[in-house]
Amino acid sequence: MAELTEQVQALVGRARQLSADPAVDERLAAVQQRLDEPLRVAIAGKVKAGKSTLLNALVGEQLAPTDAGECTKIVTWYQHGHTYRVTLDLVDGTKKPARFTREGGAIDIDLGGVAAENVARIVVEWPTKRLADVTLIDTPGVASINSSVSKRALSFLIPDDDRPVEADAVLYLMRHMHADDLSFLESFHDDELAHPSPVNAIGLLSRADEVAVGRPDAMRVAERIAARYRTDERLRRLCQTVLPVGGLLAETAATLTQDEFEALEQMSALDRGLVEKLMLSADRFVSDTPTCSVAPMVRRHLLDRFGMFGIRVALPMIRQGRATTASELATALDNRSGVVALREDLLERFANRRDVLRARSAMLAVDRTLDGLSDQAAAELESEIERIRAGAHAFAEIRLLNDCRRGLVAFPGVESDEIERLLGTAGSTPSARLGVASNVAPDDVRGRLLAEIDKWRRKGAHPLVTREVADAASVLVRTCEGALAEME
Amino acid sequence: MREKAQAVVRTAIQAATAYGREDLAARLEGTGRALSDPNVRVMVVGEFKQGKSSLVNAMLNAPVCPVDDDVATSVPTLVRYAEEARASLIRPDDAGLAGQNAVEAIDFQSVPVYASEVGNPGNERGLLAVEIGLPRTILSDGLVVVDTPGVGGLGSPHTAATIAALPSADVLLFVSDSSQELTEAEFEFLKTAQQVCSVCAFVMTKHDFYPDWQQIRELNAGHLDRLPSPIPIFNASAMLRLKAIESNDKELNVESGYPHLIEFVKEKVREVTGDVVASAANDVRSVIAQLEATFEGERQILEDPHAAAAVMADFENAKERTSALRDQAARWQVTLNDGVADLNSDFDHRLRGRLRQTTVEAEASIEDQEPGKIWDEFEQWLRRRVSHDLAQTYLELVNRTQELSALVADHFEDGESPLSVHLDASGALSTAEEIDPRTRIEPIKVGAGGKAMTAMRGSYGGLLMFGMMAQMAGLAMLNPATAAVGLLMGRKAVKDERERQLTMQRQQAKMTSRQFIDDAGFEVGKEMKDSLRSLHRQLRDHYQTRAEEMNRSIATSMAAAQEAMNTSNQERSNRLRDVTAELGRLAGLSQAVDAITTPAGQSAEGQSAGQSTGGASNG
Repeated sequence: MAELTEQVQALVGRARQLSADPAVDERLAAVQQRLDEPLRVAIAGKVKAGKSTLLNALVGEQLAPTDAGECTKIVTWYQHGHTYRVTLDLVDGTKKPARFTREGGAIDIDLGGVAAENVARIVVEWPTKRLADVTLIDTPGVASINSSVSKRALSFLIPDDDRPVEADAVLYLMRHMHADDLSFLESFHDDELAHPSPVNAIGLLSRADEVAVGRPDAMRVAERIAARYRTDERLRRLCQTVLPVGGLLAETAATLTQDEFEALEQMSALDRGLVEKLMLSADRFVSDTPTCSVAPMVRRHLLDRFGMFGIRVALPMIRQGRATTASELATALDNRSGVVALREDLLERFANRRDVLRARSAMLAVDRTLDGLSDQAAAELESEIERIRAGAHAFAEIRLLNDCRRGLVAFPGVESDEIERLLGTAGSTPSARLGVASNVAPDDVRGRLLAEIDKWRRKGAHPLVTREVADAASVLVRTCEGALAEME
Repeated sequence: MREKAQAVVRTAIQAATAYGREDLAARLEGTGRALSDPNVRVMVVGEFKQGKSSLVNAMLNAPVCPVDDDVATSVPTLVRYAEEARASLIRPDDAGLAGQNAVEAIDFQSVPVYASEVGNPGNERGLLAVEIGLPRTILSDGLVVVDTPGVGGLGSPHTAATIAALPSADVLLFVSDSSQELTEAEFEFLKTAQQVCSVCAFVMTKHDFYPDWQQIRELNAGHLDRLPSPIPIFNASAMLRLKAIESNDKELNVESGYPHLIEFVKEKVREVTGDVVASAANDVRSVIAQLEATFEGERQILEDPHAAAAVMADFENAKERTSALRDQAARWQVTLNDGVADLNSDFDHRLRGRLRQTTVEAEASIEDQEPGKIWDEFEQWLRRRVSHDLAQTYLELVNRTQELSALVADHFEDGESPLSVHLDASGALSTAEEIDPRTRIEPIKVGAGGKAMTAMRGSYGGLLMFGMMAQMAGLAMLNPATAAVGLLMGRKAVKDERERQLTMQRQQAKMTSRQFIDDAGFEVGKEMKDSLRSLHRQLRDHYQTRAEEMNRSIATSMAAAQEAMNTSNQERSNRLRDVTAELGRLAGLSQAVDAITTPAGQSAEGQSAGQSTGGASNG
């Protein structure tokens, strides 16, 4: 992998030598620098899909401001830094430090009189471990009724000029799958491999706690819906997987305070009939009820933090003794929210492929500069790109994965799931690729890998197979060989 | 109220037949038919998964429409009144007879199999609708609630189907849940919908679950202010409503928001019914006025034979004018014919102008970009744009036809109207009869509720459907030379090849889009001409019949007057008594007509106050 990064570094360096245009050079310098930076994951989706809430849940802190109305209006980067700092990158290219305050959770950034449309992006640097490996980018909602806000999100995610795509990967949040979501996902995918690619996108069924309008089985229903989307042909070719997440639950779990827990404890000790009455509607929950010993203001706060669903889930947990401390409740809620699964997935699908994804972004960026070069220089770079692409097995795997997803390659008698798993969709360790438990003895794993190699060799060598299938088989053989080598 | 109106119409028909005026009776038969069709369609629309089916169920307090957390409605579901619960499927008839649909009764329990995505994904069974009959008092006034498949789901044909069905709605309930403010797509949909259906309401569902619903409501109110005409907002929580009914909790029912919503719907149903009744009353009044004119003239001569000459002269005068109205060369006919001809050429021109502008813009954007990359997006844009062009032209057409109809009606109305002349004459003879302004000839309305609208409504749906669904030839994907080829051909050659292919692709894209716009213009041009022609016929027949009626009224009146002059003194007093009695009867009928229209508002309000208190229990 490191080898790939080096090759791409060299490619970008050569491109910088060949290009005479200082603007292009500047852009390439940024690309080069980017190869050493953490992976950039953009959080995108329609307006009010819960993007900022999810970002907070992933960072484990209430950073991004959230609100009932449309809230995020400027693309905001949350990256690791040594001090707390907020910078405004203005449209004219200058940077300006911004003052910010943080009271009771989210940070409040003072644009200092700069109009929102003059701010290209806000960069928030925050010293937290969670951001060390990944930079999260919060984007305004697409399909906003305020079209200039939508436009800002779109031009960031899908630049229409020849700027490189800024994000290496994207988490796409949707509520129920909407035709708009599909067309967005389609347009996000770059055309470098000539076709949309599911390699760098994960679909999230967000606000999952709301799908059943507060019934306690909401998360199970959400999982069922997500499972249906996972098998949807149109979605399969656009994103790796679809997971349900309840962002609010996770955000609250990550930032739960002792006071909040105590208030919930107090609520759970109340008369059941009274609680049921309060839980009828959000209005009743915060209403003036003299018989309720928990003050309406406290209840309002709980409602904001947990939502109706969160309270409905948390109260029985406390009542039945399944959560006796704030941290137990936080863990239980976090598990419920699906964000734990998402973090694992992020790690497996994106972080493990970080080098490939970053190399891919960098090569794309170089490719976009070719038209401005002399024919000779362009040809040189182009063949170099092609050489890296053909040489790196990781790219071959990605291509095969895409083809499988799009139904272009199919082995008779083999489930496409099996192939996808071998290609690393479930994780890139040898055991994950084989779909066996991680505690299986190494010798056993080795034996299975050898069997796989043999199997794919035979399939590829069959005289009646098409060239595509033969090529696919040889990619799989190499994948297994690689896994075998990794075990030595 | 509708029954009363029907009774009045029946009496009037009897009277007209008794007086030998079967032409007037025939006209009233038509009026009676319009009255006996009580349907007022309330259509529930919105994006998918916003709680439309739940809204219908909670409104009717019956689990009629399938509700699921995941699976959406795929077929429009009509719920109307029936003595006992029943369900049936409506399919387009294979024989292709226009307006003839096959109906197949099904088990009430199996509705979800046909109406939702579970058993009928993307409406693969090809149903027009599922119809449900339900014994609910709220439905007994002719209210028909229509649950529609959500707009914007993955099966996007739904959108087109829903938009096409909009013109058939009398009232539109646009549903969006309280989780977030309106999105751009929703707003655009609402804007289109409002142009087609004049009565709309915005319903925010699930407010029991979202603590910030009030804030969302304010945001939505702000967005709705940007609509061309104001639109009321209602909250409706199906969950609270069902709980309220379960526990018979009035307070909770009020909190659910349903009583207000139901009141609104009922009021609108009354208004639509009221419009139908008012138009029926007008018909009856005009018939009574004509019958009265005959007797009135006779009575005056019988009372005072010396007035005979003056009365006859008036009649002669009126006859001349009515004859002129009937004549081929009547001025109203000229106005109508010229008007229609103008409309025809004007709209042809406008449609072409709009489409040409669209073609120019389409070609400019093809020239700017690589068509292969943007084709999907471009195709959608083009469809929307062409649909918009067609819809705008159509709406203008409707407005202009309305104006034309009013213009034609003016010819019957200005001081020269034969009836008013006659009534003037009788006024001179100091018979206390006054001109009843309500007997004027109504211009045919082309707006919602108007008779001629039916044809137009149908074609409007057709137009929108056309824009959305028409076949657009796919763009054969010529992928500009790829990098792999580049290795073989060298950079320069690749560039040239790329250029060449791009040019070809652009050419092809332009041709495809031009073809599409051409097809749309051709089909729709014909559609519009057809509907204009049918409208022309309807207007002509309507006014022609009115003219003939008047002519006949005058002729009958003159005959009666003639007879009155020749009556002997002895018979005269007998006849006078008869005629006065007949006039008395007509006056009684007149009062009956007034009774069904004027106090309607008051009695309706009284009723509503009584009903609103029982909101929870009326299921």
